[in-house]
Amino acid sequence: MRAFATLLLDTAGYEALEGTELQDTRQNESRLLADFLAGVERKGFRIAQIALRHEEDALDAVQDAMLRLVKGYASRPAEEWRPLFYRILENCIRDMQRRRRTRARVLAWLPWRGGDDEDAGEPDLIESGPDPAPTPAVQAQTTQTLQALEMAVADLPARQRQAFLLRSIEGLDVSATAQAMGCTEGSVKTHYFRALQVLRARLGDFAP
Amino acid sequence: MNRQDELESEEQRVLDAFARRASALLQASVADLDGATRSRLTRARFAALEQRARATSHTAALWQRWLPAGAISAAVLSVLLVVGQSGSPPMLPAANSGAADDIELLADADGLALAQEQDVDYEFYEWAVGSARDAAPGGTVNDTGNGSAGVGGSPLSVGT
Repeated sequence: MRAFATLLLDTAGYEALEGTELQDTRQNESRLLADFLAGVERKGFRIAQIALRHEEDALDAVQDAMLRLVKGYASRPAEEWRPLFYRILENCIRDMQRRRRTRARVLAWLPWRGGDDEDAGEPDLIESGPDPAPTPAVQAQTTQTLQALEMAVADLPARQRQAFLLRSIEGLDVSATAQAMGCTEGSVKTHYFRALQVLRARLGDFAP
Repeated sequence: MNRQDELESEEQRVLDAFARRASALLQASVADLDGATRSRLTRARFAALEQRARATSHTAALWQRWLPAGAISAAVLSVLLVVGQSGSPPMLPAANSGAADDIELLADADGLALAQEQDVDYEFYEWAVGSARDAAPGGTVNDTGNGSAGVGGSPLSVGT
């Protein structure tokens, strides 16, 4: 009986020690996660903003991506978070684009909704461009070249846009971009090269 | 290097330069995000982390609630098992006793020799026991309860 009691006490002590270590690990993981999210949130927002051409939607997409990453993938190794985050963000962006298209189709059939609604129909290049009346800070920082570039990027096919923005804004290399896009490195190179060609051809005088 | 290669490498150089300028412009736009947007992004981050903290603490609370109960149940169950085993009759008595008998029989060399001997005079042994019973006062072998029987301590000593 004494041996049994000793075993129980040992087990309890081990569990307490393990609990403390587990708590430390979780705290450390939370700190790492907070740092990671702080490092990607602005770039993620700009990627979403350029793709969606809507600030509120972009914020929603980034928040959604953060929540999904934290909820589903926080326990994964930290080096996997970046490609995972951008993959999730791209899914959020596509979900929003899909929702917008569906809403636009439905609303187009409603008689009391005129064609002048901002959500109706396919996005108009001028109307869906950067906000014509942004905050003064944004207005001061946004140049004509940047606006032209953003519009041209937004018009790219999804995969080309994704490859271009991940490499240009986030600075991911080909391998990490391939991970984030869920495709081969060869595909990334092709998408990125075509994106550059199209953008340069479209921007003409506005080329940065 | 032929003309085609030169054109391709020239185009590549132009595209690389374009990519660098575009990247610089976009990264500057990230750095220049306005305060309101940064604040909203920070709030979104905190909300995500808070959700995780809530989920983690909920799991920890569940563990804290159920772990002691589980440990106590396991301890009680183990004690009951140990106590129950020590107080109960031995397990599988029939099988165990059979095996023990066999082993005892094999270990008893005299018994084995006796059993293997074909010309044992069993009648003699029966006569000897009967004589001892007759010789005893009262006509029966006196079982004293201490293992010795009859006169002389051994039934075989009577008729000899």
